[in-house]
Amino acid sequence: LVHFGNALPAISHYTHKRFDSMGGIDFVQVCLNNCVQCKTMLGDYFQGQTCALSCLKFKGKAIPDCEDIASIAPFLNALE
Amino acid sequence: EVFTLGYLTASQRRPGNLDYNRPGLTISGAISLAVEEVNAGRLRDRGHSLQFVVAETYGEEVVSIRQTAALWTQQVAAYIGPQETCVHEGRMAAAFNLPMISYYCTHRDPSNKADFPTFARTRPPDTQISKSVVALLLAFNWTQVSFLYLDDASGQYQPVAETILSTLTDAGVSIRDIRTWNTIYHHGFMDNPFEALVEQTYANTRIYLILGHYYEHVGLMVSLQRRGILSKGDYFVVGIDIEQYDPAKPEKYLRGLLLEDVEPLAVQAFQSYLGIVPTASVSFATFANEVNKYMERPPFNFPNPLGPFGGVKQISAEAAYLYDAVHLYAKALMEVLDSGGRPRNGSAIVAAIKGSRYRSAMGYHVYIDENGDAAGNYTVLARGSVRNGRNQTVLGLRPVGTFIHRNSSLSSISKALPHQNLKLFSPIDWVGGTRPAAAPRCGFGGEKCVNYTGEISAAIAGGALLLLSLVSLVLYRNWRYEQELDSLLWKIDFREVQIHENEREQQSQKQTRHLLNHLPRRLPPQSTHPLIRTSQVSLSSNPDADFRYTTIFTPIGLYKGQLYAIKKVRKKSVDITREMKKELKLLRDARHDNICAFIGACTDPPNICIISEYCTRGSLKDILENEDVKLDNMFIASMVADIIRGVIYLHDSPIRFHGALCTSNCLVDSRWVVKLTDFGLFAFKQGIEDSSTDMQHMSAKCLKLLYRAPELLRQGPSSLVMGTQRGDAYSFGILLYEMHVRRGPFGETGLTPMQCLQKVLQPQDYLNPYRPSLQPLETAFDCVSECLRECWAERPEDRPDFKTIRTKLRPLRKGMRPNIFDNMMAMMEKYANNLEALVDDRTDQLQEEKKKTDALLHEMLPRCVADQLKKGHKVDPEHYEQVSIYFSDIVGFTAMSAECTPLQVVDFLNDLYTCFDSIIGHYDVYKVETIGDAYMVVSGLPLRNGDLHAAEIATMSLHLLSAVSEFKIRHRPTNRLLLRIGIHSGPVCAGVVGLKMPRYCLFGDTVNTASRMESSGVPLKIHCSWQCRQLLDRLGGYHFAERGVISMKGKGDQRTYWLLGEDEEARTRRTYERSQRRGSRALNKFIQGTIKQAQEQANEYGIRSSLKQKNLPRNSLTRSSSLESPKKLRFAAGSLLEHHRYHSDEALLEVDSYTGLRRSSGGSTQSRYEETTLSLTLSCQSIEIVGGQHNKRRPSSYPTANTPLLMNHVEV
Repeated sequence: LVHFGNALPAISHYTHKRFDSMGGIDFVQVCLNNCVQCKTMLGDYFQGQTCALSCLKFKGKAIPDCEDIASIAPFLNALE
Repeated sequence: EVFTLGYLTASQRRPGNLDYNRPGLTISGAISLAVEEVNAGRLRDRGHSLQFVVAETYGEEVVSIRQTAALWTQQVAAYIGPQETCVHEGRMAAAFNLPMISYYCTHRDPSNKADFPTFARTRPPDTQISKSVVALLLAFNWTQVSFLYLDDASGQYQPVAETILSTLTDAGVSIRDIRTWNTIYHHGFMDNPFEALVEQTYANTRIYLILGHYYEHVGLMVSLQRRGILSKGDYFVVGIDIEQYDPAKPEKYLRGLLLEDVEPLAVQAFQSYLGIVPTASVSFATFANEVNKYMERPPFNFPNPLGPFGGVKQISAEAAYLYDAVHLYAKALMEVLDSGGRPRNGSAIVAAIKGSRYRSAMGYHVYIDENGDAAGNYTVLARGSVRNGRNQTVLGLRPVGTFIHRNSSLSSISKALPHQNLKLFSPIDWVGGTRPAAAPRCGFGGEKCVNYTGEISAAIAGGALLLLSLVSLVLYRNWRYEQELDSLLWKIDFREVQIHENEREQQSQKQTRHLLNHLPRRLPPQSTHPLIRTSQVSLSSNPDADFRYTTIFTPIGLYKGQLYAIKKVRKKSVDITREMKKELKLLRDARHDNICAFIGACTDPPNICIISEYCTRGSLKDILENEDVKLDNMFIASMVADIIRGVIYLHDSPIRFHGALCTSNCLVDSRWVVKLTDFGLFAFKQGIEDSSTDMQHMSAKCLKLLYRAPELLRQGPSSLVMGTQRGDAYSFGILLYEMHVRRGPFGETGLTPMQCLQKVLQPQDYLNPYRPSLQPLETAFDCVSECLRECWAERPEDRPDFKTIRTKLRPLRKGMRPNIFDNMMAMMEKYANNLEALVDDRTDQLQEEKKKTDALLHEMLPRCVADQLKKGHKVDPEHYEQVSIYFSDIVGFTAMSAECTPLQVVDFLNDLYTCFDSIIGHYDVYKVETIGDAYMVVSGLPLRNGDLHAAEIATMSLHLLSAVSEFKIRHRPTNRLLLRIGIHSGPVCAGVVGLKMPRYCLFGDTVNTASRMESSGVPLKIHCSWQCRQLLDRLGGYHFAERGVISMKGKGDQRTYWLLGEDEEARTRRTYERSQRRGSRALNKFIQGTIKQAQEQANEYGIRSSLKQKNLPRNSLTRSSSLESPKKLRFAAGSLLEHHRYHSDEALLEVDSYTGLRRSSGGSTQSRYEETTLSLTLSCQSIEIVGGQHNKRRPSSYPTANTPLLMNHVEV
């Protein structure tokens, strides 16, 4: 019961912060987070700075998905 | 048998979740690889195999828990996982007794085997890195820190933060501030949250701990650098991340992850940064490639976005942990199977895992501790030049240290986790060259310096300053002392001293006489003691003698305008040594009331001498030898006290002793204060020539030696043997004896000084050494004799010290003041008080006598007249418009007197007039005088009473006539006294004329007429003039008989009447009215008396002033002078009385002449002249009568018994 009691606030917090779609989602923040994930996953092949600038430019509306080549294609480049 | 593994993973995003990082996408290939390797290995040899089932959790705890339950229903043999959360999953695994080996969870709770007996993990828990953080902080003594950490929606760092905080607290590190930021910070592309955090905390901290992604730390560093607080090296940052160090890209740590370039501000800031991160993997590339291959295969089929570019995904360290988990399970499974245990017993599997050591896919060996936790390896990073993966040297973070585990033995019984120690293999480039402190030296609020450091510094500085001052003072005093010694302040040039032979004599005589002239004028007002006056008179009357003393015993000279004593020293030369300098300096510094001040010395031959204070009265020896100077006990006690005080001063001073105490070395100044001299200067006097051999000088020398203590005499010559304090006691005894006996040091012995000296040196009996006889001291105080015996003890140690002597001789000074003049003043005060009391008493007596004399005077003169005379004023004659005068005479008195003795005549007159006086006391009348047997009374003066004077005289006349009828002559009882009375009314003048023998007299024709009325009357009849008759008729009540016209001498024919009587009614009324008038006067008298008495009481109770006391004697003297003459007259001999009578007659003639002149000036006529002549004739006749009846007049001059009656009369 103690453990369940400890878990409850976390769940509530988790749900509120992440899945409350009615609240204001900072899309720029989400976009930047995805840029970092892709940069971490793809290394030097992924141009993180370009991705970040794109997030700012389009106000986070174009969120890259590291699994979706089409969404990250503009930020991929071959190594020299 | 096939063992199924449940793989709990998160590789997908739930719809709507746009930024979950899906760790499974980069690690899941590791489990496929591991299972394949295990199945190809020793497990196959045993006939077993592994397979795994994938359970997606989407990164959510609820889903993870649900999947854990689902896998259990699928009868999995073990769990591989879970991922982010593991606490509840671990408890379920325990319930299912299934082994759970997590490759991702770092929560600290599953380390507790009591609750998680089937849990193990290949990723180090948070506690590992927490220990490292503590080790680093303690290594640098950073015990006060502020903690910043990322608290975002993922909650990835929150458990780590909690563990770190707990560990820091347990280790004693103080947490000053805890701050968080709530979203992942991307430097360069969003607002810097650390600006606010630094603003809130920088004033209260010096060391920052930051927990979060490494690429977020740059935000804090740039903020601190921009604020400018890193330049001095006071601040420092310790960064913590749970992602392994990437040695291929060391520069990435100095910039944001999404930035391509490193900004210069960050490069500078990271000098104040140390990082703690998990150690990098070794030979990870091959493993990474294999993991990438298996991720593209079933069951995962994850695409590779970099396929067209020829690249692969970056594999994270968690892949290695996942790989290790499978291999660890397989190994444990085989152990359990080999040992015959049940392979599905989770506790057994985990027990087999604990304590095992294996080579990890990370490239190094890993140890699983008794808690089922893999031990971690952490690296300390610092800014520096380092080679990157492209073989380029760049500026970035490089490893500088690691941590060593202590107490890692398997046999350790202690349950405490192993502690870690920091091990640096490269020096740290501190900003400013020194390691920063966790807190400012004065504390964050400066309180330490204020409360402690400042005070300590001040105390140290003060102590040092004090010590320096003391040392400086000592050095200065030593230097000063030597300077004073060398400066020869005592040295005097003899040329400055005026002592020429002739001039010396003249100066001495002049100064001496000058002093003598001054002393008498000064001393008498201060002291009237007879002894002092005698001494002064003696000295004044013998100036030559005094001068002789001065000349012989005390040569004097003028130096700097003052007179000093000059003592010659018979030495050829003086070698000024340091010892001598010290001696002279000691003497010069000696200052005391009873010490003769040393002024200086001349050391130039042949004028070697000592100059000291001059005492005008010479030495005590001179005074004792002068029999004219009387010394009573008070003087002796005062002088003894002076000597004792002087010696005590010497004994307490560096001089230590006197050494030559004798009467000639006790000088007496003008105030009779004794001052000691001839002490010290032992070195100065060494070598004094003493070549004289005459007997007189030898005798004097022996006499002086008699004062010296016997033990000192036996030691050698006095010039070579220094004195002692006990020796001074002996000398004082001799001196005290001489002061009482005044016959030299040993009194009258009949021996020469030489003989006495020999007897002292060689006593016949040591128990009874030769000493002065105490016989002459029988009349002295007992304490003196007792003290003398003790001071004369043969053994020095038996003699008392001077403080004891002072105590013993205290009875001498009983009731005295310390100073002799104070004693005299006390005596004067006592005398003054006694005199004041005496004066008060005598003044009271004088007042009483004054009252008596005033009363007597008032009997002789009217009060107002008497007052005027007392004041020395002239009494002017006063005119009265109308008065009534009574004259009476005794018919046949002349014949009777011839037949009687003079005494009988006096007794007769005294009896008669006493009777008359008692009667007239009842009336408002004034008795003017008696002339032989004539009796004169007046009414209407000196106090006017209107017309009542006629009635007063008339009634009184009737009263007197009635009394005479009953009067008996004592020596002739049978004879009848025949009284002839005459009364008259008219104007008169009254007053006192002349200076001698003041008398209140009446002047005018009215007096003559009244006298004629009496002389022309008949015995036992009241002859009344017509003027008086008129007044009496107006007043009424009186009966008359007309006598008819009679011829009166000088008046011609006058009609006169006989007053026969008075109506009883009228008499009663007038008596009543008279008593009323007398009552009023009595009341006024009483009131005045009361006021006077009140004033007297005030004077008695008040403080009598000295001025008042001074005035009274003068007034008294004045009164005495004024009373002197009457006294003489009263008690004068007969011959003087005759002379006075003659003188009085002459005065009377002068008075009459004066009266005549005044009348002439009024425009007198011939008849007035004749009247004047007649008056003179009448006066002459009266004189002739008086002259003829000498015996009759004399008695009236003597005091009689009329005094009380006269007083009553005056009062009336």
